[in-house]
Amino acid sequence: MPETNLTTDESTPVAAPAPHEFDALYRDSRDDLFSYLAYLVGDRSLAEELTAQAFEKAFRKRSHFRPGRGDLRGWLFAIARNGAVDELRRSGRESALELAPELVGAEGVDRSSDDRLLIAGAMRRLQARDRELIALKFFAGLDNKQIGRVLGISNSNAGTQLHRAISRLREEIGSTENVL
Amino acid sequence: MSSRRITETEQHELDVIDAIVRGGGEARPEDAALTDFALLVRNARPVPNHGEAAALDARAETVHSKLKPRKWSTFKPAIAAVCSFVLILGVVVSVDREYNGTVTTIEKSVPNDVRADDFAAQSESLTKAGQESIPSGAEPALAVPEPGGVTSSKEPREVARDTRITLAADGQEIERIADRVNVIVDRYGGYVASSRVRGGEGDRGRATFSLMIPAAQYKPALAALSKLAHVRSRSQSSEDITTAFNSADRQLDRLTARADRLEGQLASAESPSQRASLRRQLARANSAQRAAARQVRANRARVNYVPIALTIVADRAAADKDKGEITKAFDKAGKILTGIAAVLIIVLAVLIPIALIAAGIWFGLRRFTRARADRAIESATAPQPE
Repeated sequence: MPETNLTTDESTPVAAPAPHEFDALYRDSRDDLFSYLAYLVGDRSLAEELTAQAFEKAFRKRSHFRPGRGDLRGWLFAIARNGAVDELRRSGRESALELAPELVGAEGVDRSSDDRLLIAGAMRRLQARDRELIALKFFAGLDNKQIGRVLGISNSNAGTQLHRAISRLREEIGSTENVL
Repeated sequence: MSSRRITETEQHELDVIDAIVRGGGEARPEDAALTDFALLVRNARPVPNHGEAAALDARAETVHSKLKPRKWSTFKPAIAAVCSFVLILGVVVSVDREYNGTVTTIEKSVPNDVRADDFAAQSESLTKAGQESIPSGAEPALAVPEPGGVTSSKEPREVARDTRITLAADGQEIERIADRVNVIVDRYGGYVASSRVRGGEGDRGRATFSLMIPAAQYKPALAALSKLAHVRSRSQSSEDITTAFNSADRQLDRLTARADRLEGQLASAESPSQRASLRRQLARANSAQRAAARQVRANRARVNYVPIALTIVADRAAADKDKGEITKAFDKAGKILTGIAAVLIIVLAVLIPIALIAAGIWFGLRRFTRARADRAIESATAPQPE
């Protein structure tokens, strides 16, 4: 199956980012990208593989990066998302994400595990689009412009949708806490 | 999805969340709840553990070292510059060869065609050859064998020339060239004995001139006329009429002397019959003297003026051959550009509809692919049944 190319535009070569820019990008984005992909595909080992592939592909295709359409970080996450989508299609993965504690957090059981379960439960009740927006904002740490680049929507539209998703998540968390 | 503009309050909340996500920012008391929420979600993210992080770093290091720019790529600009130079040089050389080859072909295929400069040079050499065969100070002439006569090599040579020249020009140019012919004839002190001009277009039109040019101005006048248009053909002939010229002069002298003598005899004649006989002889002598004088004048005219039969014919192709080098180059460049423009128009006429169809297909596929991607993510992140 061909690779999906949703938001990256690799048709017009421009001045490629310098290697040191990629070093900084890797340092700043490694954990965030892993977090986003781990949530997206629901598999830590697959997330690790997809994270590595995304960096590799971005570095290999660096001459196709177009600064006018967003920054390097947004471009990297768009590549990563395309890779994840391709992988999901390739594997025919239809099962839902199991938000197990070992998936969302580090090892060990502590107070943060309860919080993760709370967040996981609340996110389960959201629409898929809202879940991804939450993941892109809180897990990937992207700003609105970068989210717009990844999802192929405008900056303001990304802000509007994101705020709505956050509001819903807060409502879900509030309702869960009230029940507890 | 709605695309309404975000309110200030909403934007403020997003800014607070951004600050928390980036790990900084002082939260105001009224934003405490939002800050707690943002931290709660942020801390719930699945961060890589030590082993995963180490594995990613190792992969990144491998990729980075493997995909380092090759050394030869440093020389890419220089290689590109050299290739461009060689390409341009090749184009220039090939165009130059083609251009020179074309000129050569024209000259070979039209052997009768003579360029104006060549013609003037030939006339010059012809005259010099004549001058070498005659004593200094004599009229320039060609060494023509005398038909049965014996002339002294010290006598001045009397040469009668005759020239026919045919020029080729675009039909539209014939009238303009005819005007220039009159100007040249006036400039060199000659006159137009007869002329006929019929203008036209392209390969239609014709002009004929019978020109009389003073012998002393013959060479420059001929050169000027030859430069008016492409010289398709020319012929020159020269005849040494020294013998006839001198013979007519001597004949005139004899007849004049005879007439004078008869007039003297008539004045001294005593008998009527003698006077009548002398008057008849005198009348014949005077008639012969006038004829001889006409011949002498005709001979002098032949020597003093050179008749040039000039014909201008309409021939656009031939006229193009004699254009200047720069004009030729411009013409060639214009033709090339016109050809390129025609090809571009044809290519665009074909490509634009194809591009529009391709764009439509691309937009359709893009929407389809997006929808599939959204479905894939939706199914991957969908909640499991409790």
